[in-house]
Amino acid sequence: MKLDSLVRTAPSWMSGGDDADGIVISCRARLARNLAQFPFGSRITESQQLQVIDTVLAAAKSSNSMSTATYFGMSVLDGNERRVLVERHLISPTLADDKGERGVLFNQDESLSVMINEEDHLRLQSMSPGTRGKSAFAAICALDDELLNSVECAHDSRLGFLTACPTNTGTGLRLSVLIHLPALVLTEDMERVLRGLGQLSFTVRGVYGEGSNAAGNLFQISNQATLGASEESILEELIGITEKLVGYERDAQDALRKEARGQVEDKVWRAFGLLSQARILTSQEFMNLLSAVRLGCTLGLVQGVPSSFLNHLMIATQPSHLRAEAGHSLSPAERDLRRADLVREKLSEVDNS
Amino acid sequence: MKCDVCKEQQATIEFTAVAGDEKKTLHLCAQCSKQESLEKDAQTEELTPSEGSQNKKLNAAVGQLPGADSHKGPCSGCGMTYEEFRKIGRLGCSKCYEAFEPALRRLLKRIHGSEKHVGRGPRASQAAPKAEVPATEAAVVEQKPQNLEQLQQELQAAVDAEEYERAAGLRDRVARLQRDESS
Repeated sequence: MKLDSLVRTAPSWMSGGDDADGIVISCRARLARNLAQFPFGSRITESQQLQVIDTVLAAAKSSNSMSTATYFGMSVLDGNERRVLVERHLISPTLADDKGERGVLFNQDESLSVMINEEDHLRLQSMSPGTRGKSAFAAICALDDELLNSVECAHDSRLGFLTACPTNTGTGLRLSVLIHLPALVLTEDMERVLRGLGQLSFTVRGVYGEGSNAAGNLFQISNQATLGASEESILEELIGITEKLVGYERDAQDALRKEARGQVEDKVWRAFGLLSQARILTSQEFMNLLSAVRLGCTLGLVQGVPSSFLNHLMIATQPSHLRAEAGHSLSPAERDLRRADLVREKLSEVDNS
Repeated sequence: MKCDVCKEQQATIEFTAVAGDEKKTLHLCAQCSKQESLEKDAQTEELTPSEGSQNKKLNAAVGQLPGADSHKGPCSGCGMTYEEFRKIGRLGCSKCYEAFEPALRRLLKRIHGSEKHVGRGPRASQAAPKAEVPATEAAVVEQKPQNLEQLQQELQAAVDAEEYERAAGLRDRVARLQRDESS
C-alpha cells in the first residue's frame, strides 16, 4: 500500500456506522503494552528498538486480524507523510516526531493499528464509528490476545501492565468517545456539563482546537484512571456517560427547536451556503461551519449528507492531507484556498435536495 | 548557582523543607521547584485531612531515620534515578516500579485513586508456567503482600505512638520485604 492512495480516500472504518442522530462520531480504544525484556522508550537503544519491531511484526504476521496489515517505518516517511498519519489518527504526534526506530502497523480499513516504539513498545488502537464503543473494545481485546500471545509483556500481579508513564499503569486502557455537542455549547450549558464530568474522573478535551478551546463543538471524553477499575467497568461507565451526554444534547436541541427555530435553521443553511460557495476557508471557520451543517443533519433539516461524509471531510481538509493532495508545500493562504476548493467539490457530489 | 535537583538549570528559587528539628534548604530552578511543590501537593491531596496530617507525621518521622531515602537509589534495571523520573515523567523500565517504591505507589494512588490492578492479565500461555509452582510456594508468594501491609500498619502505629526505635526496626523489615519481592 502506498501512502498516496490513503490521502484521497476516507478511512473505511468511518463509513457504515452512522448512528441515528450523528451526535456520537467515533469511539477509540487504546492499550499500552511493553515487552518484558526491553527497557521503556526513554532508555531503549536503537538495536533494541529494532528487536521490538521484529518481535511485533512476527507476532502480527501470525495473527488473524493483522496478518495483511501494512507497516510503515517512520524513517521511510517524510515529515508531511507522517503528519498525514497523525491526521488520520493512526499515529500520535510523538511517534511522528520522536527519534529512533519506530513505526506503525495498520489494517486495510484503518480500524486497527499498532504503534511500535512510542513511549511504550506497543500502543494498540481500535477505532469504530458512531456509538459502537463495544465493538472497538472487543476488537482491541482480540488484537491484544492475538498479538501478545507469543510475546511476554511487562506485567505485575499487583499493578497490572507496566507502562512508561504512571498515568497508564494497570489496564493501559484509554477509551474515548468523540462527540458533537453544538446545542449544549449554544445554550451555554457545556460548562456545567464539563464540571460534572470532571468529578467522574473522565477528561474532556477539544479535538481539533487549541488547548481546551474545542473547534467545531467536538469533544473527546476519555477515562483518566487505568488502575483499580476493570476494562469492562471503564467501558460501561463511558457508555453511560455518553448516553447521558447525548440525552442532554437532545434536550438542548429540542429547546432550540422550540424557542429559536428560525435562528437555528438560518444558522444551518447559512453554514451550508458558505461551505458550498466560499473560496477561502480557514480551518477554524471550516470546523465551525461544519458543526452547524452537522447540527442541521441531526435535526433533520439537511438531508442526504451522511455523518461519515462530514467526518471524512474533516480529515481531508487537514493541512497535511491538503499538502499531500497538492503534491507540493502550501502557504497558509494557499491552503485556505485549496480547502475551500475541496469542500465545494465534495459538497457538489452529495445530493441534499 | 545551579539547581540542586537537575544540576543543569540556573537555580532561581530557594525551597526550604522543615522536618522535625531539621531544616533543609534546596536551591531549585523554576521547573524543578514546580515539580517539588506538585509532589508535595500530591502527598497531601490524596488523603483526607486527618490522614494527611498523619502522613506528614510519618514522613517527617521516617525521613529523620537513617536510610529512609534508600528507595531513591537508581533503578537496578536501567539506572534511572527517581529525580530523573520526576524530571521526564516517564519510567525507564519495568524494574523502576520496584526501585521507586513507595514514592511511586503514592503517585499511582493519587493519579488513579487506587494502587491495585483489576482487569485483564497477561496471556493464558504465559500464565501457564505459573500454575506449575507448588501450592505451598504459591501460598507464600500470596501471603507476602499481606505481611507487608501488616508491617506497614504496625510501622504507622509505632510512628503514631512516637516509638521511633520500634519504627526503625519495622521500617528495615518493610524495606527487606520489598527488596525480596522485587528480586
